[in-house]
Amino acid sequence: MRVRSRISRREFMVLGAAGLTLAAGAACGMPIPGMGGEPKSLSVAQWGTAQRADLYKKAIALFQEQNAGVTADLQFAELGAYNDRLTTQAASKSLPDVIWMRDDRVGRFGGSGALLDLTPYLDKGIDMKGLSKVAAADGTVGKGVYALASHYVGQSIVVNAQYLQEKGVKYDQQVKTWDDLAGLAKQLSDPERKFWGIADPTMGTTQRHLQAWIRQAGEELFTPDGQIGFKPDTFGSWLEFWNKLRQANVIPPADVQTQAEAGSFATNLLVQNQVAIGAQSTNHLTQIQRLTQVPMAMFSIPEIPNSTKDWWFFPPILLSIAGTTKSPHLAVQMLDFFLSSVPAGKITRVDQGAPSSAPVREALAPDLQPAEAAFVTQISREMTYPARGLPVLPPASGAIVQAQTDASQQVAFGKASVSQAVDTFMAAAKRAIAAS
Amino acid sequence: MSDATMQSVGTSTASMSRQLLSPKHLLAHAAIIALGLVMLYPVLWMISSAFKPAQLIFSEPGLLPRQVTLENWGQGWMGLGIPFSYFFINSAVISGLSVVGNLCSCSIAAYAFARLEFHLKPLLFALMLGTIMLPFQVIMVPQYILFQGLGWTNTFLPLVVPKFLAVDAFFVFLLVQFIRGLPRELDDAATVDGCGPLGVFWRIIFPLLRPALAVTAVFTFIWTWNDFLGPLIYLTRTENYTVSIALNAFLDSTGTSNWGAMFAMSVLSLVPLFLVFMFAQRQLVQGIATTGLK
Repeated sequence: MRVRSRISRREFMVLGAAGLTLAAGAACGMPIPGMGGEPKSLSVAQWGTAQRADLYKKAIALFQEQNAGVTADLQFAELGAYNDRLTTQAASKSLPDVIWMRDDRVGRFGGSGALLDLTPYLDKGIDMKGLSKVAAADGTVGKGVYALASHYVGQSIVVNAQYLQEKGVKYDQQVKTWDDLAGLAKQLSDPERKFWGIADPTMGTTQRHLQAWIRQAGEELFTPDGQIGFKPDTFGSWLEFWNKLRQANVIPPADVQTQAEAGSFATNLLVQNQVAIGAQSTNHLTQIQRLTQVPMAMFSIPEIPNSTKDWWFFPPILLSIAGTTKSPHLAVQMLDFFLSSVPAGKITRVDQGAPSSAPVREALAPDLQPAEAAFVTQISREMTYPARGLPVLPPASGAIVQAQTDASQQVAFGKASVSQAVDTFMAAAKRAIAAS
Repeated sequence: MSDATMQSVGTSTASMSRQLLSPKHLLAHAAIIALGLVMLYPVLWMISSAFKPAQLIFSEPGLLPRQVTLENWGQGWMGLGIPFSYFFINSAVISGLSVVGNLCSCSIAAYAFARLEFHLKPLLFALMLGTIMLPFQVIMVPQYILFQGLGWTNTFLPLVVPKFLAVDAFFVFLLVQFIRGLPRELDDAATVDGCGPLGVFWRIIFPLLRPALAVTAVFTFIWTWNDFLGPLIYLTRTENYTVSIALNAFLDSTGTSNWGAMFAMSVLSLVPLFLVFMFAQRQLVQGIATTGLK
């Protein structure tokens, strides 16, 4: 058999093109088998204002000092705009390397492969010792850990401490259950001078206090497979509770509450001194206290009769790495830096909530303002209470929470009875789940 | 002028004055002024709020502030760490280039559709019109993938280059309608004098397009200046932000928004739009009337 000793012109062209492609790939930083090294630059994304961005830029500068030759840039936007941008980037597989997100995104992004599975790096690059027990569980989707909790927020009752003191009220002795809270709010109400006992939490955009009510009843917002996890009666009992208070003029009318929700904290009814008590997220205490001279105090949420003991939960602020990152090891280093570094924690403080890392919280404690210390202390205390796991929020969770707010507004404005609003909600929720 | 003419002029002037002072006329004017004030109220409220301390913006919503402060202007100007002028320049560059792009590309595309004959013209015209009905959200992701592949993210290119490719079907259609209203005899006369299609476009059609081009320019400028979603996804570095993204950065739905600073910078951001309207209003009205855009 004759062996060809020469290559044809076509074969030569093919080989040449392949060689050029390899060379171009090397120039573009594509990983080439057998050659190590990842790009030493990272993009980082989070939501918030320019003030928060400044804090995190300083932390990133510290990371760059500690890792010579590394560059990182921060992109930020207001939450709604940030989620729009993130969704577009995820769909085009071009997420920034290191990303903060809320718990309503991790189910969608983790499940679609847009995020890096951090399981191989837990305790091998990411120091898990100081983090909360549920830090990994909060970012688990299926069999992978796609995010870790960098901060936690909680739910609370915030009171006008000065007003309660004038009235001789000792909140923590008088209030254990929601009925106790209703009784106290009625006692403190003075609707004739447009001062109400408690603000209406049913008109808010996050519905976390409803989530607490549902968990106290032994149910969940969602089942593990993304269906509605609570009974219509449970939602109905929540709406009925607040509707009775509204009819008794213990909570503001719907139009007053809606107006108060519109202007962010500037129009908050506690800030405006129009209510004695408010249902707020824990980290909102600092925002409220900044805007009023009146001293505020924070307490845990009350319970329903026969409440489950392990209902406590803390919405996490999650930190993830893009699945398409070209620098996974560097991104893991930065993730660990933001989770566990005390110097980084001292720069970013509690702007996003209470740090997930106990050592960071302890290191920060002496320098915190009173309002900051109050909410960090409350979260630290409540984290010692039993807490069953939170199911990962399904893609339809945003639409369902909006449907809860819509149903609440229907009742508040007298457009529907409680049972009609619940029926409307259940139908809307089914549609949202089917569409997701 | 003869006495009879002067008398008839005097009579007609007197009759016009009586007409103007008639109850019907006064009522109509009062209603239009009231409606105008109602439409202006939000802008006036915004200007007033730009001079109020943060805690009074929503608690005292009246037009006359009880306390006046200039703090919001300083905070707004340097609120993102760099002077707000950066964002004005970015918006001006993108809007300016978009206007130029649309004027050049949409006019040529419209001329082709209105005057030239070529294969598949009806189908291509229908496809072009069909793109008007596509919401931006539908093409957002594939477009982002395309520009990301070209390495154009975090530059102005994705926002500007498409404007030079006649992607704004709305303006192409508007100009097609205008060109169809021009007499073909002008084209024929130019052709007889030796002009080819490009010569007819440049010498005859383009000069006559001025009112429609003014409409195109003004609306392109306004829509590009106010565009939010496009700059949001393509521009991620603060120094590249446009005015709309920069204004949004003052808001924080999870914390405390800086409303005063946002209102102050919003007032400033209205100035270029106001100036554009002021200088182009005559052309704009003429263009709207002749293109049938109402």
